[in-house]
Amino acid sequence: MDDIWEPCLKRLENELDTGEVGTWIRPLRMLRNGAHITLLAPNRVVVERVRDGYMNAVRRQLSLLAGYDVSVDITIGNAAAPAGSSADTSGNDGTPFDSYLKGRLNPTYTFTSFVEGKSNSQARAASELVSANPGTSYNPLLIYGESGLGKTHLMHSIGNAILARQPDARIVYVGAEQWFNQMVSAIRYARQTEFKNFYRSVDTLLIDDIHFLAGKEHSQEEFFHTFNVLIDGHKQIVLTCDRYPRELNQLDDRLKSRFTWGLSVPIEPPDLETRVAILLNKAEVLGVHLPREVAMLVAQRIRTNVRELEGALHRLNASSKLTGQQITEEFARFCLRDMLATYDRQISIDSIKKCVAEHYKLRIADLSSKRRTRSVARPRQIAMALAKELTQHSYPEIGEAFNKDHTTVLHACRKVQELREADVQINEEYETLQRNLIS
Amino acid sequence: MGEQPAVQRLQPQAVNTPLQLPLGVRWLRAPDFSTFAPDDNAETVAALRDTAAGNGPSSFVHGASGRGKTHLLQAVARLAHGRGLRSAYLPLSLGVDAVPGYEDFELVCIDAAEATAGDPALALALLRLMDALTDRAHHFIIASQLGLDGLHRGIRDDLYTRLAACSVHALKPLSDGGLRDALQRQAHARGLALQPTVADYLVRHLPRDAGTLVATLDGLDQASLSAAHRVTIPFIRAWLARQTGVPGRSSAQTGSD
Repeated sequence: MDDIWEPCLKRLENELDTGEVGTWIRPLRMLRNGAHITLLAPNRVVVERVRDGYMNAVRRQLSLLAGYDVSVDITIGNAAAPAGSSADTSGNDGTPFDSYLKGRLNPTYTFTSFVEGKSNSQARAASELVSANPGTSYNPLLIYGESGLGKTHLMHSIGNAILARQPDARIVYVGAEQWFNQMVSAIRYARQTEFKNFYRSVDTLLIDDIHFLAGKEHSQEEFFHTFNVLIDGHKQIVLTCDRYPRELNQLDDRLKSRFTWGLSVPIEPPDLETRVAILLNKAEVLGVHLPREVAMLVAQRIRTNVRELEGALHRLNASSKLTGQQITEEFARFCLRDMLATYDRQISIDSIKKCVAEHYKLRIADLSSKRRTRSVARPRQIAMALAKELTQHSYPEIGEAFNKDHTTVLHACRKVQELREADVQINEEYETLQRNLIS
Repeated sequence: MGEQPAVQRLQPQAVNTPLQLPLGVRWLRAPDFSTFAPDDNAETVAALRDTAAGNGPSSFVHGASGRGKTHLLQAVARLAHGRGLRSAYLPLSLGVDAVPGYEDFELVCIDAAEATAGDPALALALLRLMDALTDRAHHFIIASQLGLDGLHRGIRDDLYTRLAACSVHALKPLSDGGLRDALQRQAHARGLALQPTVADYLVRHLPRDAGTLVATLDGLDQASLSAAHRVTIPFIRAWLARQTGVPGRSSAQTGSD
């Protein structure tokens, strides 16, 4: 950075409208070549705005500071990689596709930093197996589940593990949308052959969020051929999707079939123990002392996904650092009160009754009635157990909501726990209801 | 009683005393932390200052219009720049084409995230930027008029979960004391002496959003220079009476917020 740029910014702050310097001028970088100055802007919008609105002021100040007239132009780029080699992986201009190799793997996403639990153990085991024997064990490996549960983490872990064993391996991690954009740009800039050759020459292809290919027929066609070439060449493909691919609309049946050729493994929302473990693990990484009871408090209330747990931990850490207070249960309750209140509001006994009644095709009133037939009593017990697990209501409060006393609720909770351990179907029903309520 | 006598008292002076033409200089001071009244938002302000020092985590700040989100974000970006971090202020209201190219910045302050609700292309651009910054261990602060719950209805799940992973801060409205503090900080920055009773009067008689109050202060500043008169309660009454409604907000001070 040239030494006249900072003084120029200061002068412009006194000359131009407040805030405009911060939005348009400060993000620029300056390259100086004698009396010619090139300003590098993040994108076309900034280039146009500066060119139209601020160029004269910038040129005047730079000339004054340089002590002689300078010429100034502006283009897209940054000092490290000027003009057109922005980090956007759109494959436009002349960026070689090889630049997408390896570099996009996040080194912090490894199997070591992945917290295993019942909800993700299968996906982790399959991922480790694939990384040990790429192209041979399960090909393709498809990991599916909702957002924020660790699919991308596992995908990067596979890439990093393969790279650790084979540093020369050609590994590409790319989001399906980026892949689509690269393909569109390749067509636009007549680089289709280069695009095809690149993706058909990799050793491991990690494609995130393939659900974004739904409805994009040309991309699906291209991906279909790439897929076949890689599989035929025993190259590893790993895919993630937000649902089981056969449930995807607007996805070619041939692709649906191929995506599930190898192994498809789900990642479920983490159970309580895993959520606690995730929180404790992340706290350790951040160097935060998080007592187990606080982790339990947060994990009991925030159940949907790992990122929200992370957000809660960040908030606790920030508040603790700023106030100098230790993280205790009381502190956490106060600090996260807005967040926890939101979760508490989301699930009520009424919403549980409604969800359970719909699931078992009963009337809501049946759940609070005196009927004791199994077709009513079992759903009622499940509703009570869900109410105990997902709300902050006490046994007597739950009992009152179902026209029963607290001992009936206590019995229902124990009974449901026994049934879940003994009967897979009931366990699945319970987890489905729980998922529906949480999401 | 009320405003009428004050106007009458001022009128003779306005007629007999020639108006002094103020210099054509506007108040151009860039938003910084010294002109932001923390009030009940002290913890949020401290957290954002910490982020401006390059210490994470990335944050999501939400609050209704007029609570100072734009001011805070611009102040953070400026402070971070002064500390040697490559930083930028990026209002999403500029549209999807304005988003690419910030991946290598060490701190990006992203304003008006509510614009992503119902705009899938903008939501995707934001998602990509957040991922790129996170991959590089860089930071971002995102501000939105809508909280996470409100945004969730209009944005994709993967963007929602990434926002939820941030340290989330709700900006609370300023109390009377906070508004008074805000006014006095702004007045002080302009070199304008504003007595506490005068600040109280403005807080009691004007809409309770900082943008309107600050815009009023700008108007009063100009009027007091023109009239070569201190800003007193009678002077304010007269000035307000001459206005044809609530003064417009100063874009310079409040930006998109």
